[in-house]
Amino acid sequence: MHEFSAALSIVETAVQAAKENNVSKVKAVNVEVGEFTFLVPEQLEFNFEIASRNSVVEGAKLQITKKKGALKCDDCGFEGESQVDTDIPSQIAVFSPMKCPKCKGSSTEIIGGKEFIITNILAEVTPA
Amino acid sequence: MSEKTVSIDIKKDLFGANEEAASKNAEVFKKHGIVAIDIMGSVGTGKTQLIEALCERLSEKYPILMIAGDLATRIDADRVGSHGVDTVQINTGTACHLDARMIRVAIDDTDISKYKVVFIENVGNLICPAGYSLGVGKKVVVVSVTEGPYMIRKHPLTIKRSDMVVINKIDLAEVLDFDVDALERDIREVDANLPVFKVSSKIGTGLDKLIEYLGL
Repeated sequence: MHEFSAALSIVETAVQAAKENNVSKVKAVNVEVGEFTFLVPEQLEFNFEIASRNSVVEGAKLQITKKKGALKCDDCGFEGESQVDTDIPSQIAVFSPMKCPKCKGSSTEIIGGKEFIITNILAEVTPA
Repeated sequence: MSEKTVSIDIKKDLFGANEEAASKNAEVFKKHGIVAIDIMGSVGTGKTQLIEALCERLSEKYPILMIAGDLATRIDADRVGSHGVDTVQINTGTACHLDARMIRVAIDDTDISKYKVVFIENVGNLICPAGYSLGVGKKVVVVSVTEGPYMIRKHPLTIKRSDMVVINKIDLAEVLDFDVDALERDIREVDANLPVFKVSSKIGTGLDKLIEYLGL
């Protein structure tokens, strides 16, 4: 479970930005989390609440945008977003996001969806 | 004084610091011609035993450094150290994985130029280590026949993000009525091209092929 250290990295970055911009209160923090990271949005939110305590970020809303994964297929040449095939039995559905949406093969390489980015914060600033 | 709400752009990659440290580690390994291998797997898959078996076969040929990651103790480092290789134990406290900065510290603490092979045994955990680059040449996932038949299905992303899989303890497959081929089929479902090695670290089955593939 590494969401706490991930949440801390969000808070530290947001606190730094707040300091540099004369922020009195951070209202929201926007992050992007890729489908092929090992980060669970719900756990990230919970840990963010704890990690932000007693900082200028405390009480801010963590807004997570999930980014779709992207694949490149060595068999058919497909390059693009991964897809979950809803027709696949649940027993093997776990494999489907990593399979080629076009030819259904598994000669795929992950080319997107590994990101974890803090994009911006919404904050109240005191005019100088 | 009136306050107003504004958007402050940051656009920072939060994995960036680790990726940067990983690239620096990779540079150090490359500079000294070191083959560095990150060995991941759940608790009890036989990661340490695999490293011991590899060290037994390679320690005469190459100077080896083993870096062991565990929450506590230096049991693994001591075990591997008994095969005549140098070891560094990293105790992560509560952290579930090694990251590139920990490896950086371990590299800085040793005379890394002395070594030709570095085995890094990651914290026993099949999830988190896969998300953190260390700067190694190969990320190896070790699974074994004693964890039950669904290890691959339950951890497809870890498998997908690795460079090769070792199925360990195959000497026990028969007595446990374990279908190794079915496990390999699951790996193929995740990735058609991932190299798979069926190994018994204990009796030595499959190790020569693995060593050859690692270029050692």
